[in-house]
Amino acid sequence: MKREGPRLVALVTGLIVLIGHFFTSAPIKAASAEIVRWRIIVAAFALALGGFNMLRLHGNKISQKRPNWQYSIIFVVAFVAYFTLGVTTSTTSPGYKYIWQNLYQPAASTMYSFTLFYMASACWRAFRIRNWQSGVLMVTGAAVLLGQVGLGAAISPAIPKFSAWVIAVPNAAAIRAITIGGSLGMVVMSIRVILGLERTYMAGGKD
Amino acid sequence: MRDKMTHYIWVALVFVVLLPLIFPLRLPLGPSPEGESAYAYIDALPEDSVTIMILEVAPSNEGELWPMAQAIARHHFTKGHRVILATFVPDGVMYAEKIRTMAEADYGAVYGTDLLILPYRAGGEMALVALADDIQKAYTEDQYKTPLAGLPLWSAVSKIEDVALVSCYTSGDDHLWLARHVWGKHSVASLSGNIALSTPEAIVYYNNGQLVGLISGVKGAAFYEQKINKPGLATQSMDAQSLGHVFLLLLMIAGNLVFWKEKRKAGGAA
Repeated sequence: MKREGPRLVALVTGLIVLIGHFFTSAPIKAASAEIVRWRIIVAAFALALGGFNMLRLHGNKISQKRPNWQYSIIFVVAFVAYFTLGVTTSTTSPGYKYIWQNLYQPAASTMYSFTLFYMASACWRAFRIRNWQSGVLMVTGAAVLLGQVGLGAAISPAIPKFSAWVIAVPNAAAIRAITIGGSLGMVVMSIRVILGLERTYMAGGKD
Repeated sequence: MRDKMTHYIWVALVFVVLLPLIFPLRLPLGPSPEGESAYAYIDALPEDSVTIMILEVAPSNEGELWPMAQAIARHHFTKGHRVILATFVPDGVMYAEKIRTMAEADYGAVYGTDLLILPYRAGGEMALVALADDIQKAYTEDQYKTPLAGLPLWSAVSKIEDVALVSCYTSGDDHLWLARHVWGKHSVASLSGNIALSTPEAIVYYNNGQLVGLISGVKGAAFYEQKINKPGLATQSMDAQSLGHVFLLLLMIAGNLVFWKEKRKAGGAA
């Protein structure tokens, strides 16, 4: 039953959602919509689980005084304080918004902006033309890069045109191939899950 | 030497990005047919049309997504459209509230009648599917815990087909679910606002006609700001982005010149 239960759930929910997408039967559509809504609740639980997991991870780091454990104290205090504030006063309260706007938002934006420095380092150190294929990649990449900014058009109107052609033709062909290939894989995987042939989502697939 | 060079590159990069922000060069933007198409579609929507803006904006992507979301919201309110703001990322409601503040201050919008903020929903594409399949059941309260049944804007939408346009501003792939589900299943016009990195994937859906428009990164946002005659952050950033791109390109070329020189010195073995 430990194994059959999840398989049965996968079979029933999978079939209902699948049929609900293609047929207009009202009860099936209602059942399908309900299952999709359950998925949102499950996702919310996953968020909570992620939060608890982070707390446990950092709690262990502090108790075992592993390297840089002091940073974990900052994480735990910030996590608990902000979570408590959000739950007790709501996410629309002035205090919650004040912290978000004056601490979290600038800090997170700054972290993200650092990637530009890594990109610059990578351009200088990593992108090497070792053969003609990487040469083609470099020329195409450079044209697309310039085509995305006004300077490209200022140098030559041909640059944004070439950039648009690269994105619309060879890129689209590759993206379509990847998307169709991935989608076929997803269809096969879904059928295997519905039929109970795919069990890796349950305890590593061991019976 | 190489490490020292990296430090010089970083310092130069700071100047390359900062200087055009202080002294704008006003470089031309270049064409954006996808942005033009988005503008034309929104501009042609009748007054009082209901639209949904899905704000998946967060501090990590706001440099690209926030200016375009603001510009499109401004366009909607200028044209007298009614806007429902939804989000599937936790930070999204903060940006939705900023749009509310802007709409109330600049366009005299009335909350509940002209705009509405739906609370955050976990689940990404599934939350989007739930919204599209049965919008009335997907939400019962707004962001401020007010029952939606009492709000005039909500009563104008009994199903997703009552909505004239759904737009999504994201660095993930929820904009593709617009094309696949909101357009694919419900035939509701969809528009994608995405980071430039996602454009090669999203443009396929635009070229197929599954998206009515595509706003791509800072360039798309700057283009839209200029279309609505409200130059803002994206327009200011474009010079910095232009020079930044050129600087990265020069670094690639210089890095290769050094590489070839070292290769020649070593007798061809790289």
